[in-house]
Amino acid sequence: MALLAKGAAGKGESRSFPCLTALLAKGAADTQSIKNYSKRYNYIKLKDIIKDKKYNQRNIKEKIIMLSEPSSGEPLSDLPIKVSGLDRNFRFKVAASYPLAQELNACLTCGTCSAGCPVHRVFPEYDPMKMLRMIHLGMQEELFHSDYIWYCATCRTCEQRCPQGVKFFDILNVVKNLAAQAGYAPSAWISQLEQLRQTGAVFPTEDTWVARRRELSLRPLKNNGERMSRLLSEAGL
Amino acid sequence: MGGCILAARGIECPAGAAQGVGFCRMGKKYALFLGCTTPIKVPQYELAARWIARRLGLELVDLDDMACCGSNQINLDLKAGLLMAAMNLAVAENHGLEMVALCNGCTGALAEAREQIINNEGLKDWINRKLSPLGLICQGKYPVRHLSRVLYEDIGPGRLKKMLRRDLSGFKTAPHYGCHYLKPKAVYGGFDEPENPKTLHQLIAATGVSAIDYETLLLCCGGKTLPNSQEVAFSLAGLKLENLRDKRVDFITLQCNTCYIMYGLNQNNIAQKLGLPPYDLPVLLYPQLLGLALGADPVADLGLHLNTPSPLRLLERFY
Repeated sequence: MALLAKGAAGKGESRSFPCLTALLAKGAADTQSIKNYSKRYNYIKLKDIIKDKKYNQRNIKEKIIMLSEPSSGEPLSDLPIKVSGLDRNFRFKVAASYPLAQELNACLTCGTCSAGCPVHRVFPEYDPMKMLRMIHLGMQEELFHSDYIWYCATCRTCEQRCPQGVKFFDILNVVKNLAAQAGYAPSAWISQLEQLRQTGAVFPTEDTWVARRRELSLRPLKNNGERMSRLLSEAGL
Repeated sequence: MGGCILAARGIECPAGAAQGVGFCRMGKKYALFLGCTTPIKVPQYELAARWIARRLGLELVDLDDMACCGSNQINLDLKAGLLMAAMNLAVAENHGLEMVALCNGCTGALAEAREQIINNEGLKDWINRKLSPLGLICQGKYPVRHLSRVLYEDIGPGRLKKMLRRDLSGFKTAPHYGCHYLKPKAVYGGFDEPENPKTLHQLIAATGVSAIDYETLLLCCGGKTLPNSQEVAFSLAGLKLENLRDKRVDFITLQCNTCYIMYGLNQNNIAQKLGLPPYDLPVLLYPQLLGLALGADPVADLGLHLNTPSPLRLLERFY
């Protein structure tokens, strides 16, 4: 399987929020509801969080404000996702791809994962529980198109705190794998792969670094590019 | 395998017993896993780690056939990532050595792969089929531990305390554990408590420096999001740095090259990007701090001059 960088597949332009994409695709959203949508899901101003010393309390308060903000138009909840056009088997595909992703169906939607997620804290549009629901509903295309699946910091707080033992980290990895196979891999990871084939490490070996290691009397590094190339081609990458 | 003379004879070592670890494990051999980032971008971490290992009698064996741990490649292909980790495990197994890693991410990737190989026969077969052209076989025989964990378990804060050569009391530091040092808990056998970690606090306390508790202690550095979204990564690191601004700590102590890249190397960039005043908060890697306490030369042995922002002004009181 040859992995293509995002954009190379021809449809990787989407930077918008996946649910919004879904709404647009269904022709259900007019300009006003998109406006309301962006208003409700505006970034929490990072500087405001930072300036406040009691981050946690402030964060909760901001969220309450954000959700209860009066909107002039049609609220988002009135625009249901039409399940009929979605791939209902997507969650089974995800669960079957990796043993640790099996607990996918045990989710209670309690939201503990999102509450503890550090990325969600600074970037509320990244929402583990929401992504899990999208997997459940079969919103495969929206997930693949979105940049958000690649924003996971891999801290694994979600699975650490999940009362049902759902391993969101592994589940998201499966989704990322499937997205990569479909041609949506971000260029950063693709170029890292190329680098690995050359040196066996994710960074190029620059002369200044080599010189610095010599100055510090640290042993020279061996180039394992050939070995890594063989391994990666064995793995089918 | 090398080891304490008493332990080799099956005699319980009094020093080890005092630590509650039974046998003294000084003089034990480990395969050193450097990873990609440390030797190239944070060589002072490697330098300090090698110095303290020599000083404490831990033998770090360099195995040149080791390559990247695969922690980023699981994003593209889980099995390929696990295979990369397994290749490194197999190299260490070939030499009959347990592995010690400097990077939290590498420790996590390798330990997780070992856990999978032990518990999943199908995966183990697949991996060994793919490793056979390289002449390797991976059984997941030996554990993989982080250097700090080795220091904690095999030496122990109590014994470290008895070896101090330099008085560092009066310094106040903010410890940062790093996510993959603690999680997933099951893979690390419940070594430390992910929600209320203590080991780095104790290791720091052993050097005479006081380690504070603070609100964002458990916050992720965001390093893994840096290649895909600088905005997310800098915002996350900024939260912790901003939290520490009024804590009056002398420096941050951490134990992972990725965390160092975020809080140290990128500290100025973060302040600039977020439109905040500069922090100028030095960042030390734990082996550098321990090395200082054990009497190492700050520049020649620990490479403190390479740290950004410079921690050298902290040392004025010694000269």
